[in-house]
Order: sequence, then C-alpha cells, then structure tokens
Amino acid sequence: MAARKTRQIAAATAFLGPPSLWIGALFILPMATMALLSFWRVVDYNIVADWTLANYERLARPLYLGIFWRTIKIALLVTVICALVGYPVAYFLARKTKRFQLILLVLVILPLWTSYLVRTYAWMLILGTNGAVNQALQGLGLTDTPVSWLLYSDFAVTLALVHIYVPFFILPLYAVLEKLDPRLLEAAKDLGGGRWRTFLHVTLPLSLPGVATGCLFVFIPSMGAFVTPELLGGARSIMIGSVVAQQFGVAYDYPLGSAMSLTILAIILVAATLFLRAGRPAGTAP
Amino acid sequence: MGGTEQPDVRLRGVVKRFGAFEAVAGIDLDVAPGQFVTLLGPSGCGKTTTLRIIGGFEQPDAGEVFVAGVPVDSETTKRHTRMVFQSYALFPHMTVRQNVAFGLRMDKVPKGEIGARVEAMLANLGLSDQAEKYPRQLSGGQQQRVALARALVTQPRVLLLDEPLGALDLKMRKRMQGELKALQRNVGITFIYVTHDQEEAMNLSDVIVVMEKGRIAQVGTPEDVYRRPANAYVADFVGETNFLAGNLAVRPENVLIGDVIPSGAARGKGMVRAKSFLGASTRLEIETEGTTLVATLPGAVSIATGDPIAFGWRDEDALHLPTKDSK
Repeated sequence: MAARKTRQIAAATAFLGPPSLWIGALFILPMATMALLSFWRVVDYNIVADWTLANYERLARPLYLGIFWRTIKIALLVTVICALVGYPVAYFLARKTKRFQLILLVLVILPLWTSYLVRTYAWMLILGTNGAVNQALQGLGLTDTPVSWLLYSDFAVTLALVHIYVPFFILPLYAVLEKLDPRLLEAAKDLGGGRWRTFLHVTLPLSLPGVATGCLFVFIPSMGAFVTPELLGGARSIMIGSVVAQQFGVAYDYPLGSAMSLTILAIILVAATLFLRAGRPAGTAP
Repeated sequence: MGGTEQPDVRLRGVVKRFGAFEAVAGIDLDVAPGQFVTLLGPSGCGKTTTLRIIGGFEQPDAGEVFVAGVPVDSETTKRHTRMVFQSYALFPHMTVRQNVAFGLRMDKVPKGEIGARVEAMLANLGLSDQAEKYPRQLSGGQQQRVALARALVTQPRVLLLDEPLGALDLKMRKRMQGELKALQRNVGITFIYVTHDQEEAMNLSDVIVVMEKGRIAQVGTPEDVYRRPANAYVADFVGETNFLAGNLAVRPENVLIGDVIPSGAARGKGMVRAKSFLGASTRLEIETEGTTLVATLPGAVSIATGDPIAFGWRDEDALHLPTKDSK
C-alpha cells in the first residue's frame, strides 16, 4: 500500500509538476507582482513600496472612466455582432451541410493562420483615405471627398475586432451544435414543431453553452485589445489596452498600469460569470 | 386483420434505399384500428426504417403510405402519428411537465386546456410527483413513461414505438411490457412497435409482422406465427426450432423422450450430449445421426449426460414448412 502511494505521488509530481511550475512562474507570480505594484507608488521614477490606494483613485477620473466605458461598449458590441454573424455560420456548418462542411470549416479557421497584425494593416488599406472603400465610393461618384470616419474611429476598431475574433465565436458554438442529438429535433418535429419553433424552443436553448463560450472567447480579448485600436482607432478611439501599454512602456507608471490591468481582469471575471450563468440551459448539470 | 373499417395505417409497395442498400424492399401492410402490431426481425431487416417511413421521418423511394386515410408525404399535413424514440429523445432543458406540454403548445391548444390535459396524462402514467424534475433526474423507466406521456397527450391515431424498452434492464423491461399492453388497451389506439426480441413481440402483440431483409416474411397473430410459421426463417427466428429432413421441423417443447412417447410417435434413438436445468424446465441436446436435436422438458429430468435416449413427437406437432427454394 505504501509503495503504491509513493508511486502515485511520484506520478502526480511527474505529470503536474512541470505545468505547475510553468503556471506559477509565468502566471501566478507576475499577477501577484502586479497586485502588489498596484498598491505602491512612483517617486522620482522609482517604484516605492509605499502602500496607497491612489492608483485606483486615479482610475476614477473622467478621462480613464471614459476610456474604460468605451472599451466595455466596444467589446460588448463586438461580442454581439460576432454572435449575430457567427450563429448562422455555425448553425449552417453543423446542421445544414455535409458535403462542404470541411471546406467551410477550413475557411473559418484560415484567417487565423495569418498574423493578427497583417489583418489589422489590411483594414488600414481598405478603410484609409486612399483605401479601397473610399476609392470605390469616389469612383462611383457617391462622394466627392473621402469619408473620414471609416478609419481612426470606433467603427474601424469594431469592424476589425469582429473580423479577427468571429472564428473564436463560431468554433465553440459549432462544436455544441454538431453534438446536438438529431433525435431531439425529430421529436420536436414529430410533436408538431415547425422549423422556426423547433429552433426557438429546442436548438437555441440547447446551444446556449456554445453561445456563452463563444461570447467569452470574443469578449475577453476584445477587452484587452491593444494593437487593433492602436492602429485603427487613432486618437479618437483609444481603448484601455493602449493606455495600459503606455503606463508600462512610456510613462513608467507601473503601479497605475497594474491597477488598470487588475480592473480589466475584475470586469472580465464579472462578465464571464454572467455569460456562463446565462449560458447554462435549465436541467443540465452545473 | 380484415374488417370493413378503414385501416389506420396502409403501406403499398413501399421501397426505401440507402445508397445501394435496399432497407425496405417492397412492403404492403394494413393495420386495423386499435391493434398492437409488432414489426419483428433482426437488425438490418428494415423494421425501424418502415416505422420511420410511417412516421414521416423518411421519404420512401417508391410506394404509398396512408395514415388514417391521409397520405404521409408532405410536411404540412397534420400528422396522426407520434413516435416514442429508442433513446426517448426527451428535451433535457425542460421539466417533465414542459416536455409533456410541448406537443400541445406546438398545436396551439389553449393554455388552460394544456394544463388540464398534461396533469391528467401525468396522473395516468403515475408521473405527477415527477412533474417538476428534469429528465436526467429520472430513472430509465420513468423517462420511458414521460416519452409515452409526451406522445399520447396529443391524442394521436397511431403511436409508433422504436424498441422503447431496449435501454432498460430485464426486470424493468418485463414490467414495462405489462404496462405498455395495459396502456394500449386503456387508450384504445393503434400501437406499432418495433423490436428484435421475439419474446417481447409474443407477449405484447395482437399481430406480429415478421420481417426479413426488407420484406415481410409473415403477418399473423403470435399463435399463427409460432404454430404455423410461413417458412423456415420465421420458424427459426420466432422461438427455437429443430429442423428435420425434408420440410419438417419440430419445436423443442414438442419433443418427447423415454417412456412417454405414445405409439406411432417414436422417431429414433440418440445420446444425451448436454443437459441444462433451467428451473421451470430442463433443456436436453440429443445427438442422433450426426445432428443435434433440442428438447425442452417440464421440470427436472432424471437423465444424465451420455445416457442413451429414445425420442419422438406427435405428427400434429410437426411443422410443415414450404421448402426454401419454393419462395
């Protein structure tokens, strides 16, 4: 018995040890450091372990509150648009096609093979003053001067984020819809449910876990988006990710940047709880 | 199955292919109202496909299907059948009550009426205490009853059941067989039941439809099918059979041994090769002239393995089967 127990401990250490070290060194330790930093202050470009709530108080200023609010708004909007665009795609992929399923699935995943940065730059080319959209509009005589709000705006940021993150909505939802027992749909039809009501009363509620996961996969990176708003948002559409980067990269205000990061984390945790709770259909195990 | 009444279900020349495989190879069948009809056969004989065609889940490649005189072919037709699925297919996100109410909601029955009918159906099937539970909280037998309630509450003309007891253990299966039979008498509608279990078919059915390779091998009462099998396939599939020379066969329980063989019934001598005591009966395997004859005798038998034994059967107990190539 004792030998067996020793073996079990050895096996547990062998399997769980490396990932524990990895997570400890690269996730828990930095997070703990940030949590500490967020309560310290900077004096003459030196970080001083002087306990204070001042960093969090600074976040409550209208400037930062406004940016937080815009970030949440854009992240939610991106999530909603991804859901509206992604649900029909996932539904079609999972339930309506057999022959093109693989091809379409590859098409959904394909954009993920190109760099995030490249895709963001592509939108600059499309939306810019001399970009494809403006040239087309002028060529068609629909406008004399280039449309200015296409680029460096909330519009540009939202559009690009939807484009970049919509596969992350489609894939988990596809996985759930694909596994949905076809007998349930047959039963609904047998009991007189037409297509629309079968969808509304059976398919949609049972796919909510996939919708919730997809929403999280879009909302979380959108909240922390940095490169896309930096390149496409310009001065008019700053998101909180850029401000955090400035604190660490330019302003050398690690405590303020840490306080912002932890606030973003708190917002995401609250949102995640809400999403997952809303996405649990009745009668399923928690 | 005669009578002048319009049949509840009528199949005419029904064919269904899946690729090159002909699952249903031309079926004609009339089912009279109020009967418990079983489609019986091994897996792959087309019984489930036939049921799914009657239910409108599969489009036949040829032939016609009528339920209550109405052709089953378009999605818009108000349907007279309801299906109880093998896996029950209960909606996991709905309570028992919501599951049972589903069909009535889809039929746009007034709310007050839905409530009353659902309560009555739940009470009828002993589910009143489970009304607020979700399917995963129920036992297999209870889920089975919910599936029945959900289908029956919509008052179909015909209830289709696709091996509904397959997922239950033996004891529960026996109990549900009794309940199903009583339920069918109680509601008085036609049940069409699919199973591969011949004992279950015998126990439940008014009429058994024995199927083989997409065709109907025989239609008859359980007694017909057992005592007067149409061919060797039916004799073999329904009950155990000793096939003899020519086109004769004899059931194990009709094989007589030792002193009880009346004059004129003696057929030969052999040796007991195996013996198993089954409680209510004893099963002997008798080796004779290179073949094995199975005999089932009531109670215990004082014969040992290796003993020489005389065997026989009455002429009237022998089954006369049409020779296979005459089909």
